Amino acid sequence: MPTTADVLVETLIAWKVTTVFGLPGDGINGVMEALRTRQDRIRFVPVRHEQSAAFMAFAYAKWSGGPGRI
Amino acid sequence: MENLASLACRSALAEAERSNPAHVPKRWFGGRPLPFDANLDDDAKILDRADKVAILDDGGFAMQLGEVSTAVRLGLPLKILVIENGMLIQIAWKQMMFLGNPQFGCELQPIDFTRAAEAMVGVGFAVADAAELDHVLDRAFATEGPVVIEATVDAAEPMLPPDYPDNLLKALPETPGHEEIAASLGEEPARTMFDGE
Repeated sequence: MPTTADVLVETLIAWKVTTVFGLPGDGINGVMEALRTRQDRIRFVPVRHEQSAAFMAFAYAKWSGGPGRI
Repeated sequence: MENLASLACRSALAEAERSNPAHVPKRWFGGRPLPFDANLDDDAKILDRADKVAILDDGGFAMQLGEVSTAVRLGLPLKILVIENGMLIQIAWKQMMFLGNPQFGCELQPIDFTRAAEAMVGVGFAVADAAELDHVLDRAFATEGPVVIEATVDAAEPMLPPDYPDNLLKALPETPGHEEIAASLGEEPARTMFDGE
């Protein structure tokens, strides 16, 4: 049975999201596993601070043509 | 044998206690760079001349690395002990041990914190050998103002007691560097903890 994290990441992939910025942590480790098992379809970019991840995702969306690609 | 991370933390706290017994650390903060014994309700205690010790790892320290320069500007007597292992190590072990998942996304690009400290503070100390620890800490605590001490430790060594063997054995095969982790599990005290279940 898929986990909530599986559904979340599959939904992102279905929305044509190719790149996710962030860093792993306690509450999000389920999502990390869902990203790990789908590395061929969605790329995780680890960063050094959550704030940076938000800026990067924002910039990525602006330069790549829309929030569907954050 | 006690590892460098544990020894470094204990020794740094002993130095702090010698400096000001009234400010012995009361609690641990996880993950983020907070002054280790800070009573945040009383700014005066932060700003007095007694040494304050922050013990944190490279992941947390790098998040707010620039604030070392704030400590320099304010002339704070802050001794920052950085346990450097190139990993978000607590998260890595939680992924493997609590969830049985291979470690993913926890590796950190190495930073030379000693040189970063030199750029901001003027002086930084590095230690990778437990035998040199006392000498390095003595020099660091004899230095006025903010000081960064970088203690390089083994990332393969269990950060938490490895007492969930089923999860860990499930997680290891697909974990990068699993050979080194498996080897470290064969050494004490990890071996007894690992076999104890």
